[in-house]
Amino acid sequence: MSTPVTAGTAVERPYEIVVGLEVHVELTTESKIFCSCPTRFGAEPNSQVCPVCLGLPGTLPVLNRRALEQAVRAALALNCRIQPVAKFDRKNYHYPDLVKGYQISQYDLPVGYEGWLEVGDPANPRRIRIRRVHLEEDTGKSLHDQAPGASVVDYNRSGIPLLEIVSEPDIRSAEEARDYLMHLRQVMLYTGVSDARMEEGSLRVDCNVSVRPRGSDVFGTITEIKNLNSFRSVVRAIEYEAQRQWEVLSAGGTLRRETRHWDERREVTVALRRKEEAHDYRYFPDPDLLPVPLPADWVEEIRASLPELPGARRRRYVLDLDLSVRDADTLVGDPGLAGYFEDLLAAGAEARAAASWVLTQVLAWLNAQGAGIDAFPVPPARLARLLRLVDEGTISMTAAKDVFEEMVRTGAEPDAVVEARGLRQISDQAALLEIVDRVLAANPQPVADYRAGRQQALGFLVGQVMKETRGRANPQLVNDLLRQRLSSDG
Amino acid sequence: MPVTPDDVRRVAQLASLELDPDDETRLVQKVQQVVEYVDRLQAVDTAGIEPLAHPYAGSSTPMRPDTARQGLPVDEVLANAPDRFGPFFRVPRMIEEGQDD
Repeated sequence: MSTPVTAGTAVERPYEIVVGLEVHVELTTESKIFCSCPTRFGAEPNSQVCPVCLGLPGTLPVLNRRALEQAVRAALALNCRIQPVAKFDRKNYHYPDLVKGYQISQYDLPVGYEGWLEVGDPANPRRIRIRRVHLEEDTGKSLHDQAPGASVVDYNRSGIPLLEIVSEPDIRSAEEARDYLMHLRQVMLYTGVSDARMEEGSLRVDCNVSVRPRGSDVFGTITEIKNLNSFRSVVRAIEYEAQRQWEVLSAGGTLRRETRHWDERREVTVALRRKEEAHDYRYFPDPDLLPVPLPADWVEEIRASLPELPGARRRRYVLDLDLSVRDADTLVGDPGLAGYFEDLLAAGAEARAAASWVLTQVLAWLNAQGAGIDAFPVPPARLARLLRLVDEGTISMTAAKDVFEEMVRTGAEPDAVVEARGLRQISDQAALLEIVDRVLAANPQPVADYRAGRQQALGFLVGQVMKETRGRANPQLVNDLLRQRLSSDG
Repeated sequence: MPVTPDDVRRVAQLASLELDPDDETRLVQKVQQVVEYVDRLQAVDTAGIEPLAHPYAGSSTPMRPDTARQGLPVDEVLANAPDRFGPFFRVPRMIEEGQDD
């Protein structure tokens, strides 16, 4: 394929994209799933390994209780049913990064099954079904750019607990795939089961993509895309692959069920060299591990300990607090920021104003400092007080921004700054009327213009009043008074 | 179910085993015996019996608390490696890149 593919919008496409995602997330445990080796990311190669995760003969796996609990926690947060008794199976294949010649995984009794995750506008969400959530061990990591003419392997990752989350093929666009991944990642962060960093490989995505003519309910031939290392590459790869498939089909060709590799640099998918043998993992129960009962009372305990989940929070922000979907997404996407916003609400701030301040002033400061919300020097109650001063008309929005800057810089109380700098807004009608009259008298031409129907002359007059009051006049009141005067005495 | 030499070759390939022709003939018979034994088991009526995932029925897998302990020193890790490259195991080059179709 050498012709560049330009992705059309959903409306103009003659085909429908069908996507299912397989997502792997590394669980944030201290130790590995079947041995006590540390799981720290970025350690020296082969410095966090032992006979168990090296697959040496005679060793036996012992399950990490925390990993199991995290798996149940994630499965519950993804609305899954929990298996009363789970079990581990061996998935058999040979590869240098797989130490034992098999991976301990789960085949027919995964920890969770039949879950779902909502995506899109909370007022009209789409539910993406989740087929299964299962626990397995990660493999070692192969590197191909270290030794000339050879590959090298680092087994630090071997045995890190991994959760595989498999969706049904319910996703209908590249954007929806990104949305699903964003929500899934947030669930992992909120439940604390994974840091879900795609750039560190603690969240990895394989896409199963097929296309079909619009209106058809038959599934087409699936290709699996691997090597996706950002949400952006997921979107680009799906767009590219769907268009490629459609072009093959449109030209009368047939598709092969195959694995394709996303070439990040050229932004194309390419077929992997076909292995001689088809995949046949010959799963069977791992005799080294006994069945794992997941008692209902223990599961319910974990369910009760779940925090408010991102989906519920997004729904609340949009439907109850009337925030835009975009603002809700930004807040929900940053649990720290959302926590600060919640604290503002608890301190009595109005939701939309609070969201606006957090997403503009507060976020701008954090971005400029390269800091997280923990480093933000203004306690929520103090910022809530500032918002109240604006809401009550005590200070103008312009003044509030100045006060905010001083609060951040010096840690001062908003009331003290307002008094010290004389920023109290002039909302005294009689006092303002006097100034309004003075401005009208001094500007006969704009007055005439306004009366001749030129609305914009009013803006000039408002500006003059603000200038007279050094910005302290209540702008709404100035507007009202000017209109009143200009329409009454002609 | 009759076992064919092809079946044996396929399983050998999946297990990365090299067989010479004598092995193949012998293994066809051996595997045939195993399959026949399983066939006989299949004939047993198991209706109403809980599937068994492990012979130690009734017991559950032991677990450990999530505490980390340092593993082996890297030189010990690599002591039995046929080939090493610094702190890594060196292996034959694996094909990872795709090819255009």
